[in-house]
Amino acid sequence: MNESKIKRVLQSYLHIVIAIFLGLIAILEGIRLRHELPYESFISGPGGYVFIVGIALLLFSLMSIINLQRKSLKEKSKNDKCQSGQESMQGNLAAGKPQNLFPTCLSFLLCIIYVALIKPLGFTLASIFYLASSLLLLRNSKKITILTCIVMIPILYLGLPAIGISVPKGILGF
Amino acid sequence: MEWILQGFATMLNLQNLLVAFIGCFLGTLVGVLPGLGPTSAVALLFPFTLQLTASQIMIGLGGIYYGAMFGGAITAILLNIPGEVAAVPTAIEGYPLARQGRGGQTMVICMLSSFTGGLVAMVCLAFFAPLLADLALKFGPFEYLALMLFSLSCVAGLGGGSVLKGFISAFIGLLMATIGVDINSNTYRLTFGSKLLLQGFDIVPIVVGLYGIAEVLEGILKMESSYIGKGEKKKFGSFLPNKRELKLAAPAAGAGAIVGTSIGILPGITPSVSAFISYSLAKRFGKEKEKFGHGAIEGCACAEASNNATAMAGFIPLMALGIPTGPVLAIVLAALIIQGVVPGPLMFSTYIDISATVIAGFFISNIILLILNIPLSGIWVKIANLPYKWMAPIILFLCVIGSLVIRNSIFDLWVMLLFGVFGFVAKKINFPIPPFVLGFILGNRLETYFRQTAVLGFDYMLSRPFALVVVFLACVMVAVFSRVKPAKAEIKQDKQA
Repeated sequence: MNESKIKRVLQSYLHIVIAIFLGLIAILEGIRLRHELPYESFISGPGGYVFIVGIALLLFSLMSIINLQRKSLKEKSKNDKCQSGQESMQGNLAAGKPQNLFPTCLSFLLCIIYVALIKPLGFTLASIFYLASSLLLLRNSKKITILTCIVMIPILYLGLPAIGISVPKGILGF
Repeated sequence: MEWILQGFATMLNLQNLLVAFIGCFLGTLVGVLPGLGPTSAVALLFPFTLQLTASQIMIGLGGIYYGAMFGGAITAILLNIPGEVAAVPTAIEGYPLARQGRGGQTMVICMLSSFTGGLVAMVCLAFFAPLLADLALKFGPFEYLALMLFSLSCVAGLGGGSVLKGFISAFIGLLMATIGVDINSNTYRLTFGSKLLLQGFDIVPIVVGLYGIAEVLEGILKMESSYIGKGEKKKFGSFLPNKRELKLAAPAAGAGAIVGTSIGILPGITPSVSAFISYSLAKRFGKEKEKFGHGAIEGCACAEASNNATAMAGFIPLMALGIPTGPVLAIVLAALIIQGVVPGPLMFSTYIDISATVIAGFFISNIILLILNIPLSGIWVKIANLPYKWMAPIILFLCVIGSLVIRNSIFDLWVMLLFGVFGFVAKKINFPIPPFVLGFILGNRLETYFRQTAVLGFDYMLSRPFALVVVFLACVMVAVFSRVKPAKAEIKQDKQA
């Protein structure tokens, strides 16, 4: 399956899967609350609203599925009529320049590491580590990276407390 | 009108002026950065405004909003980089003018047009919002529920792409808002035994994740083949427009302001929609039709006046009814709720001082933008040309600080990252985010009104004709939106942006 096909499948179905999943959770939560609070009126109680939102999500998912089926039937009949045209269109789609996800994923991974390090290292140190690694990852020169970090240290250490922003401190006390 | 004068008197203290100035400055600064539009600017900066008073929050966020919109226009004219969709018509007409060496004049015309748009909408805000608020005093829970549903259906319908996706997005937002302790019955909902979820999700990390993190990830992805810095930098030329240009631009700006204000009150109409509508009208009825596409000053004036008018007009339903018409105003609403001020009819009775200061603040912010942007244009262009590989980590770092300042909680940072991924994936699969944000922000109030209406019963609902009409209109809107396919031109413009 090529990239454009995966993208098309995700565009068509991912939101439906999420909506069904969340809708089912909401309905189950509504039912649980119904049993936990039998003295409350269901619709005006805490469970009724969640239940209705869940039902709505399932309904929208069902409608989306019906829509997609209708669309695919239409496309199928079109394909039968002009198969060659469609082939060339698919060729064009496949020929689209693939985007390099690697730097994006790595940047996001760095964000995750950054957040994970805030508690043990403290906000200031974790931020400097993040900025340095992220700037280097995105191919900034070492000079710019070092300069940015040097400028950031006083901002983090003195600037943030000065404007009343308190940040988590780590094992080193800052 | 005495209350407005009182507002100006309050506004003209140093602290409020400073907030307006900083808001406009920071808004323009973020607005000129590639890939960041007004929504991202407001989302990124609003955590830092939460230490201010309610009126200062609105003035500050208003300044950021207008500043970011105008930042997009500056880069559209001088670099052919529309920072957001609303600035696309400005780029189409403004960039050819800049290539002819009339960048400075075009910018001045755009600034004056924006100012005109803002002024017309502000006058409407001052006159009509109190009337609407008076009317809203008679509203019960069913009316508010109906208005919120109407607002959600408009935003879901106009969110771009499929209407069903819009509704799924809005309802996921409503569901997310229920996580935590239900304040009415003190029961835990959707917490799955986790103590961290008891408080529910805070709006700040969600909005910062959706609009900050997701935008930056998208920017990094596009960095290689990006739109960034592709435009050819142009000379400003003279800043003084000639008589002919003013003669052409003045009626176009007036028309744009009226169109932008009238449709800006409706939920779901974003400045970009109104900019395109006004631009199409100018193209059809303009005096120099043949110049459109090659540098028509009327096109720039009309689009700029219209988008600023729409941005300002959105404050009418927000302040009078407490109902936001789009994601930016939903964030403003969230900021006010965090401060304990719930916009609604009381804004023009109990909180009249806040409203007056805010209206005066908007007026002054527009003047500040006018004064600020002419001398700083050169700096904005330089900032717009900063390499994204340097900007991206700094913006991500700002996102982290923004999410941390509210509760100083690491959990909020994980939420921000989670919604960052959600926002990024949503963009890739054309899943609209504004309905989600609106659903999440309106969620708690919508639930309260829903439950109150349910307690009052079916007979009560039948006795409220206004609410029934609004519910009917919401259904009509859904039917209309699901029938209308997005226009080819709109898709093309989105791609351009």
